Amino acid sequence: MYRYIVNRVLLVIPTLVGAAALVFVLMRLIPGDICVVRLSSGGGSVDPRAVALCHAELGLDRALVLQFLDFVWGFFRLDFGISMWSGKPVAEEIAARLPISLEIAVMATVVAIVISVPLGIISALKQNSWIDHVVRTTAIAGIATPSFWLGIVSILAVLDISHAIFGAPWMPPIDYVPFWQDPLRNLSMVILPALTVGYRYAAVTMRMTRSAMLEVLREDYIRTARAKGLVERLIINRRALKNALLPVVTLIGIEFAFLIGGLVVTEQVFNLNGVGRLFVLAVQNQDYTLTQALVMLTVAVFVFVNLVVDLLCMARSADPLRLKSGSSYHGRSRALRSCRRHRGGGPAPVARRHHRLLPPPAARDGRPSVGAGDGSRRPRG
Amino acid sequence: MIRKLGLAAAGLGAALCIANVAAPAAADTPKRGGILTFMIPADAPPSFDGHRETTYATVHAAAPFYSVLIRVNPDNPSSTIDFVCDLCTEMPTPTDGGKTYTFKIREGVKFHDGSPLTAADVAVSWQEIVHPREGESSARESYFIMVDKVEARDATTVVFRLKFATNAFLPSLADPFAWIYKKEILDKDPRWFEKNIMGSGPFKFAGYEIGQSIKGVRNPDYYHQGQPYLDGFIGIFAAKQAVRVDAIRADRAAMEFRGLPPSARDELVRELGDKITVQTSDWNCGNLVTPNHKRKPFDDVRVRRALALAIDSWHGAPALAKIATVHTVAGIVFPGSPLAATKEELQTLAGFWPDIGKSREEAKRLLKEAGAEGLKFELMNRNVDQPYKYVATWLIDEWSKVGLEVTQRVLPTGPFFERCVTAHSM
Amino acid sequence: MAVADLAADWIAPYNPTSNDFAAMTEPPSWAHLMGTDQFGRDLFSRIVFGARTALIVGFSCAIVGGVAGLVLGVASAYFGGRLDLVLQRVMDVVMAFPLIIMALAVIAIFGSGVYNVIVAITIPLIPRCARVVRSSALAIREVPYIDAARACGFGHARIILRHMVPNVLAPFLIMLTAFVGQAILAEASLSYLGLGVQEPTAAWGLMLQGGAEEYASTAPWIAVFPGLAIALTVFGFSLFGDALRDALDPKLCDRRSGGNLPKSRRHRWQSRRCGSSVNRRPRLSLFWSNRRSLVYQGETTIGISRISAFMTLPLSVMVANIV
Repeated sequence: MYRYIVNRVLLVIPTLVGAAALVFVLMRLIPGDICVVRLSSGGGSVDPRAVALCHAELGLDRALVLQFLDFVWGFFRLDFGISMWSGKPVAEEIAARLPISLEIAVMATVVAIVISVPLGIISALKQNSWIDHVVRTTAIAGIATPSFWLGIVSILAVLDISHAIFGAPWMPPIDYVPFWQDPLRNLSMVILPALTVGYRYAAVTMRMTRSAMLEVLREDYIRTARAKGLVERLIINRRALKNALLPVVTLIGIEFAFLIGGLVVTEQVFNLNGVGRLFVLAVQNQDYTLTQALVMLTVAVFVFVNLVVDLLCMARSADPLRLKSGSSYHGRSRALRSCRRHRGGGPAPVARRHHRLLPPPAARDGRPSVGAGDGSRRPRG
Repeated sequence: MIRKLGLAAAGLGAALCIANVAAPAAADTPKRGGILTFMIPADAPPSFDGHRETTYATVHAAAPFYSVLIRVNPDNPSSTIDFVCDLCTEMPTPTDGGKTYTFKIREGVKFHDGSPLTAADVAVSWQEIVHPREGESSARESYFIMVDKVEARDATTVVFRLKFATNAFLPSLADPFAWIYKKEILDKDPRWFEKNIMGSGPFKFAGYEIGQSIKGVRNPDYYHQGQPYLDGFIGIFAAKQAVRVDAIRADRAAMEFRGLPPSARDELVRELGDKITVQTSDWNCGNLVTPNHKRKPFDDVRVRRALALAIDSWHGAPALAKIATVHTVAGIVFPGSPLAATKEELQTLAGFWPDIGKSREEAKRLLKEAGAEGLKFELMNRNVDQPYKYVATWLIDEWSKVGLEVTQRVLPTGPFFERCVTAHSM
Repeated sequence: MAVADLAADWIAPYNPTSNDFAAMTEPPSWAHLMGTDQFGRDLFSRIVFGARTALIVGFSCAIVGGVAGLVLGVASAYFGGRLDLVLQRVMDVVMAFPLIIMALAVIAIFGSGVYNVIVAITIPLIPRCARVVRSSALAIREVPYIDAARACGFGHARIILRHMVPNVLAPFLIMLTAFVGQAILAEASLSYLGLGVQEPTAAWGLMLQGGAEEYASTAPWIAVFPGLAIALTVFGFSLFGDALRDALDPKLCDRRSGGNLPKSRRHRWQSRRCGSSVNRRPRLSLFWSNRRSLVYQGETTIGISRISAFMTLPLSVMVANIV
């Protein structure tokens, strides 16, 4: 197991370096010269001496390999350099925008959890009832609706409704104040974007909660518990929920890492000065250093969340207590499987090891365990 | 995938421009006090150095902190010839056959750090604009090719010596970006003003939230007695027009200075009734389309002429004026200026003919003659809605009427200009 | 929508790019079913032509990305070893790049046109597909008949194409459907950011940019219809994907559970039927028959349920285009 952990942690390094190489190459493939862009902002002619000087200042006249090594080394020292566009330290540029994006991401997550988990559970418990149908349709709609459109429509709705009710149109503030300075103003600004981002997020989580719950409810140990005459509520709370929530938590973690993509668009709609918008500006302005830092930041978050999720899954599936809780040996593989399901399998060594962790293919449960995206299919013997 | 035909450009002179500003107008007797929140219709500029930048994002945000030597008369802002002093005491009469301009500088003007502003500061600031020192760049160097040198004769006198006399000198001098910096700071670090703000203008710098907003407070020592009327201002950057209109509608901001198209103005007036005041004026912004004449097939004058002939400015401008910040059909010179062509004069030029049918026929004939029928090309444009992308949508439709198939490629402002500068080598 | 796509030229009453200054921002009427935008262009026509853009982008991205992912995934699983390790690392890297950011960079490099948008959206889809295919294929590889095939001396190509690929097709197809929806959404987002398809091309995301927001309160139809078109179309593909999953998923009618795959969407009557043995048939035989294989992966109901599943898409698409 320790070997697995070490292995898994070490795998982070090639991913990070690979991402660094990718962004480095991508940025330099974009046609255009940042120095000319900066110096010709009005369309005037550019003095080649000024361009050369600018190149020297930004270190762009050095060999690409050196530039790359410098960037990677800087990343490991957490020194991202100076933005090529504004001349400010990259860390400062990002720090100015991080709070609002982080706040929206966290609020969206909270919104998603608060909405999706109870609804998912109810939907699973009342499977095929009208509630279930309504909830599921809403969820699919959440996945299908472009969040920016939701944003446009909600701003319009807030303006018109407030106009109709209070006689004066109201909209959220357009300049960000930190929460501790003015909580009310802060929240009123963040809530709409958080809801638009959170809807999709909630939809995805809801679907996962429902199916995980359904799956768990059919487990042997739940049936046993029922047979023993345990109160239904206890069964749900103590047994089912605990096991069903693991894949949900995993999904929440991974979706969180993907939120940056959603934020790029949402921040545009609401004119929020966040990391997502900075990303677009950095790429457009060909600000190598800033883009590189932002990409590495995003990738690092993603890789880290994945690592935590993987280790969590592993710890969970190896948890001896889990065996006592009435589940069969089979329950262990199931936890692991449901953990990995939506991720479509893991890196090679991981999958291999899973095979070893799994019970012999004695088909103890009497059925093949095959499912789309299931990373731990067992060989059938 | 770089298209072989790649091309071309924004900017040729086709039509127009416009204007109109939606803004609460100043009342006759100024009211004192209050903090003005206004929208700046752009993303935050890369720097606050007016000598280096050309974007209105810089000038809207930072001009209130600085003084200039002369300016367009604030009470007659659309004039092209009415200039008044800001830091000088009197508009000079040129001597030496129009080659020497001597400005007397106000006494007692102070920078916000308390130090006095002298002729030396004015002279060195202008020297940077006109002939930047080695390694530095000035966005307006080319406006001032007539200037030989700028010098401070004494603490209150600045002399501009020209290489040749020209009427273009004073209008250039009234450039709103030509801020006066402090000599001591410039000498120490010519780049200091990119990231810092310290001037002698009506407002003192009070804070910048990176990428979001800029704040100023009243300068009690301002040399124009009794001004400014406001206690302070907050400028909020918002590139999207919808956000700005919504903000004004919901009273999150009081105005914007760049102007809104009539559709937005009408919407605000309808929603806000007498709570809003609107000023309409002409706006000096030309829209030009520039073919890259070094590239085939635009090296053929017939093709270029056909591009111009296909455009129906006379009908397009009034319609576009309803939705875009586009207004008057004009030639190269600002309409209304004594130098501008009259409508009659314009209508004799290709691309301005009153009979669009005839004009299009001629365009088709020229294209056919040049072997460029059904030509496909790409229009390079700025990634800015008003008026650029709006005008492009219209232009592309106009060109399609003579059989041209045009696609649009938009670039952010910086890369757009970079591409214009380097296009000849592409 | 497919119909709308192919027949766009006949359905659309107006040229989607021609301006009509006599009819600017007109509300929906008989002359203009969905009204006109600020240039006087007919919204209905633009939505119909936008469907074409959306479908071209959606299907090309899904198919190109999916097939590339399929090839890489199967190859990775089949050959294993170093190739697998290297490929997986590359996939990790691409996966870690958020889709929209990758697209931003690709567009900055190649420029923004429909085809570049397709490239931009396709690249990030590849690893997602490769992952899923690989894990399915890994399981298949362990199955004895693959060994048997090897023992028979079949070439790699034959084993992969005849024995492995058909067996991973089910998850692959489900994913493909999801990709179409995702790609349409991604294209809309990019166009909305002003980085995707450019004016005057008709595209839904583009229609929501600029004018739609500016005129949202005076001419809400400009903002509402394109958004609905996107939402309904993606909704249609999601439903279709779910239905497809139901139809192809062997566990769905599992004797014990009557369906337990995550995200499965089942019809009420379908679960009722699952209990009976009447409807059970070996699953793959109906689809991509591979009788030579010894695989018996499960059972499912067929017939009406599958047909209804396949009906969902065209229906929702029709709705999308009618609205």
